[in-house]
Parts: sequence; C-alpha cells; structure tokens
Amino acid sequence: MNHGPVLFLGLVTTLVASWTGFVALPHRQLGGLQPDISTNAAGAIVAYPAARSGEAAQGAEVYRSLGCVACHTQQVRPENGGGDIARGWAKRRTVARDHLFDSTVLLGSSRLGPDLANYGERLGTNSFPLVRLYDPPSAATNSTCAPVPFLFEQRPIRSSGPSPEALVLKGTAAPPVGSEVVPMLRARQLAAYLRSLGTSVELPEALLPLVEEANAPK
Amino acid sequence: MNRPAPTPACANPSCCATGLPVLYLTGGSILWLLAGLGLSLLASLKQHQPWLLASFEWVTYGRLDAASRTALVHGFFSQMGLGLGLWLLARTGGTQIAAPGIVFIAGLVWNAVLTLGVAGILVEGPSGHSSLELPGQLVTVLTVVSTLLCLLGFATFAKRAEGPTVPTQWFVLAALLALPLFAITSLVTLSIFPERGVLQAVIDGWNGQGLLLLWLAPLALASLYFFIPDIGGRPLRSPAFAKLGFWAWVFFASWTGASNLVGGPVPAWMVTVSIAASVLLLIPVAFISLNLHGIAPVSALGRSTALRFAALSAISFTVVGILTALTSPRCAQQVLGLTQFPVAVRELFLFGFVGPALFAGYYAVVPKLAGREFPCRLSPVAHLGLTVIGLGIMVLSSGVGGWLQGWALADGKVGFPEVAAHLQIWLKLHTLGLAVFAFGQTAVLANSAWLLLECLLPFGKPALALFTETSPAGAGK
Repeated sequence: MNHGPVLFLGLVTTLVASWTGFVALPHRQLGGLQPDISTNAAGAIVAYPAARSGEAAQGAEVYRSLGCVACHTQQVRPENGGGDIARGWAKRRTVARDHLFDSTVLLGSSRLGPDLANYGERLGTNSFPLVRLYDPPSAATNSTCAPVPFLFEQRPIRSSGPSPEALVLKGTAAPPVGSEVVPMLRARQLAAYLRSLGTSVELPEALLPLVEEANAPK
Repeated sequence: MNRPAPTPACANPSCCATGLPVLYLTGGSILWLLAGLGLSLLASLKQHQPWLLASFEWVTYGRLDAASRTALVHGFFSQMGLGLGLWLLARTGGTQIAAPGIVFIAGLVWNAVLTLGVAGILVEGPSGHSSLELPGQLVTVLTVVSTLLCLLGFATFAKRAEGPTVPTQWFVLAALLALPLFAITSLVTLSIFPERGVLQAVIDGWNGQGLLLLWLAPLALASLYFFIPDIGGRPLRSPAFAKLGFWAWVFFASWTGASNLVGGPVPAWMVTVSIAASVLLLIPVAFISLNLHGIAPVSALGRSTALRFAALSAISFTVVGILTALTSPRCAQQVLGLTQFPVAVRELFLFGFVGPALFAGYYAVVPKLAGREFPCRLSPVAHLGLTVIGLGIMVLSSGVGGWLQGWALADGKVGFPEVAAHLQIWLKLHTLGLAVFAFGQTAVLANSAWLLLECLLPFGKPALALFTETSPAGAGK
C-alpha cells in the first residue's frame, strides 16, 4: 500500500493547526492591543505606553545591533514565579502592552546580566552612568558586561578645557594625562534608550502592589 | 510533468547524479560547523573574559553569539540534514535525486547568502529575533532557496518506486513540509511586515522550536530510522510503534512554540499549551526509543563508525526527551528558565542528538558516493571520543551552572553580582568543553579533506596535462 497522500494531508493538517495556534490566534488576540488611557495624579490624561523619543528610539536600534539581548532580558516575571520582583528589578510583572511600541521586541532568553525591563526607573532621577558602557567593572562590581569602548572617543583635552561629557575614569581605565574619553552619538543614544526603560505605570492587567503606593517616596 | 519509470539505485554510486549535490551539501556543511564552533568558542571565552578583543565592534559578544548560532543552525545542521535527507529519499525510493543540478546550484546560493548573512550579523548586528538573526533581504533569498530545495525533495519522493512508505520517508517529508511553513511565516511576520509588540516574540519562539523539533529533529530521526536497522542488519522492533511515534512526534512538537516564554508577557494559554505539549512529547520519545534502542547487535557497533554515532544520537535523544519533559512544567521553568540550563538542553539536543545522527549518515553515505573509504581510520574514533568528552563537559557545566544560577536568581535576597560571580567557574568549564568538542570536529574535517584530495587526484593529472603538454594530440583525447 502506498501512503503518500494520507501522509501529506496528515502533515499539512497538523502543521496548519500549529500555525493557527501560534500565529493566527495570537494575532487575533493581541494584534489590536492599544495603549491604556488613564488619568494621572495631577488630573492629566496620559497614555501608556507612549512611543519613545527620537534619541531613545535610535538607542533601541543600537541596543539591538550590539546584541545586548544575548545577556539581558526585558521580562519581569510575576511575583509568585521567581525572585524578580523581590530583587527589586520592577514593581510589577511585564505584560504584552509594555512592549507595544518596541520596533523589535527583545524579551531575551538569558540572564547572564540583570533584567533591564524597568532599568530606567531603577536609576531614579540619576542620569545614566555612561561609564557602565565604557568600563563596566568600574561601575558594577565583578561585572562581565561586554565593554563597548568603540562607542567612545579618546581625544586630547581641548584648549577650551575638558568636555563636560568626559567620563570620570580611575585606575587602568583612565586615559593618559591630557586626554579625555567622551561618548560618541551612539553611546548617547543607547544611554537615552536605557534611561527610557520603565514599567512602573499601573495597568488594568498588571496592578502595582498596594504597599508601594502607600509609601511611595517621591 | 511526465513520470518516467523509476530507475534502480545506482550500482556504482560514484557516477550517479545523486552524488555531487549530496557530497557538496554534507561536506560543505562541515566548514560551517567549524566556523560556527570557532565563533562559539570566542563568544564563550568572552563570557568570562569581557576585555578580550573588546575594542572591535564586530566581535562584540552579542554579535558573536548570534553569528555562531546562525552558522551552526543554517550552515551546518540544516545543510547536512538536507543533503542527507535528499539522499535518504532517493535511496529509500529506489531512485535518484530530482534535478541534481538545481539542487547543487541552490546549495551554492545558500552558502553564498549565508556567508554574506553571517558577515552582516558581525558588521551590522543581529536582527534581535533569536531564530532568524540574518539581515532581512538575505532572509528572503534564503527562504526562496530552502523552499525550492524542499520542493525538489518532494519531486524526488514522487519519483519513488511503488510500494509502502517507510518511517525514514515520513520523517524527511515532515521536515520538508515544515521548513517552508516556518521560513515563509517568519519571513513575512518578522521581516517584511513585522508584527506589533510581543507577537514578534511569540512567532520567534514558535519558529525557533519549529526549526529544532520539526526540521532538524525529523531529519535526524530519519537518519537513525534508516541506518540503525540498515547497518545493524536487524529490522525495527515494531512498525506500529514507528507510526505512533511519528504522528505523536509531529503533533506534540508542533504545539511547543511558547515553552520558553514561561512567566513572560504573553497570554498564559500559549505557555500552558506549550508546557503540556513538551511533557506529552514523552509519548513519541518512548515509542521512538523503544523502536531504535538495542536492535543493532554489539558486534556491529564495533565494526561501524556510523552505527556508533547513531547509538550516541539515540541515547541523547532519549535523555533530552526525558529532560525536557521533566523541566518544562511551570514550577521548574520559573527557576530554570532564562538561565544557562536551557543552553545545556539545547546543546544536548543539537550536538548530542542531531549532530551525531547526521554524522552517522555522513560516515555511511560519503564512502558510497565517493567510491572509496575514508582514508584515516583513527580520525572517526578521535571524532567520536572528543565529541562525547567535550559535549559531556559542556552539558554538565551549563546544566549544573544553570541549575545553581536559577536557584540563586529565584531567591530575591541574593544580589545579582553574587549570582553572576558564582556562575563564572561554570562558564569557564563550558569554554573548556566547547574547545575539546570543537577540536574533535577538526578530525572529520581533516579526514574529509583528505578523501576529497584522493578523489580529485586522478582528475588532477589529466587536467595538469592539458596545461603542460602543448601538443593537441596529448590533450585532445
């Protein structure tokens, strides 16, 4: 007996079912997702998430092109599913809506480095320490983060004085006397992107913990 | 298309049209294996020596990681699997490969595109979708080429001699049907008209699982289903098990798409379905294992390199199947997900199961097609030995390291720098294992190159004569 047609039809049916389950149905469920519109404490109507500013959006491309996703996830798991929230990475889990305006969604699958979904919020009011990109260990103990010195320029200090953007470097990472290390465009874009990462806005599908609201410091 | 009477398998296969494209696809893929492992090794070193070559943007860790995975999956595993799959279809169908010239040219294009693509990843950066890191335009070409090759596979199947089909054919056909579906879907939804938001991650996960479980795994199983009974000289235990194993594999494997998104920002039902499917994969793993294990006599194992690789592959298949089922449930993934543990499972799957299954075919088929044995008898022994040792160190270091990393990460009181510091030793061990493994693979490259040289030498002399002898009588004949 020759099973050719049975085999073919059976395989096509199985594969199309899988396609329906993981491509068509998710598209139907999530394809029309919209930002959440709410009123903030000051009474203004705000939409979350909002598209990133130009510099941060370009930084997202830098983040993608350097393959940062190989070590950094951008997905905080729910409180009952791991230590992410207890570690202080974020106040709530990430949900589909958080990634609505990411041009490339980089959830990541490995945590050789810390999760960055809420990184900007973790920085608080501080600006992003660019030295983290140039010489990671000097900013975070034992960091094995891949340094990206090629996003910086080492140049002689100009007669008008040192650049306000120059990195404060110590030890072996410090440039020779008379030189300074300044970030180039892509380093600034990447910093703007990392600064923009935040998931602290409450959503109907991901509420913030009540305790945090009561003691909100700022 | 008219259907000529099927020609019987060639008695002297070195002359037959099946030979050249199969030798090209399988032999050429070994270069990708070495290139991919070289990139992997550098990436693995950089996991604990971040300052190594740090000033060169094109070898930054994230790019090396993506480039090495692409070179291995699209360069080595896919091409070796495809070459072998086509040979198996021709051999089991008692015919020859359809349109061997087009297969050969498609193979050339595939390699050219992939070379550009891997260079593109290093220079421009990966796409960010882990199952498809190549630059967009090249993905289009690669999709067209791979779809064409799959269609030619169907044409080969259509030419087969009348008679019942065998498990090897089922598995190759499943792979040839699955690849175009996954390739075209991911091309359209990730590259041409990118989906919004996390749909990208869902489709990326589905495509990644599809490439492993419905493209590479069926090709590997096809090889095992053919060579273990063929070389061992004993039939499969049960044709009914073969059927059940096949359909259960295809069905459950196709629903595992979101199994690596546990706790992620995707609807919970997808993850739940995928976990259930990953656990239920135990059913086909059991049927397939029962059919393949222990049917080849031990004496045959001593005689045949191919059979030894097949045995390693079958053992890894069973182990990785059980390991996946045990570690897929939500409670396990909450700890082990996003660590080095999935790396261990993936390595055991690719380098322990798929790779050795393909090498079993390679060691069995190439001598037939080239018309002569592999010149070095020690080389396959070194290849197998170093594969086992290297893989063992790799899988254990990633597995144990990932296990400890997972438990440390699950405890919110442990600071992240501490977690990372404790992982260091395991990452270093992993580099060691990878180095041993990669060194072992140079054995098969050297042996193949030597064989190629021996095959080309007889042609070399007359070709040289064309240039050295000036008289037309000498060259004319």
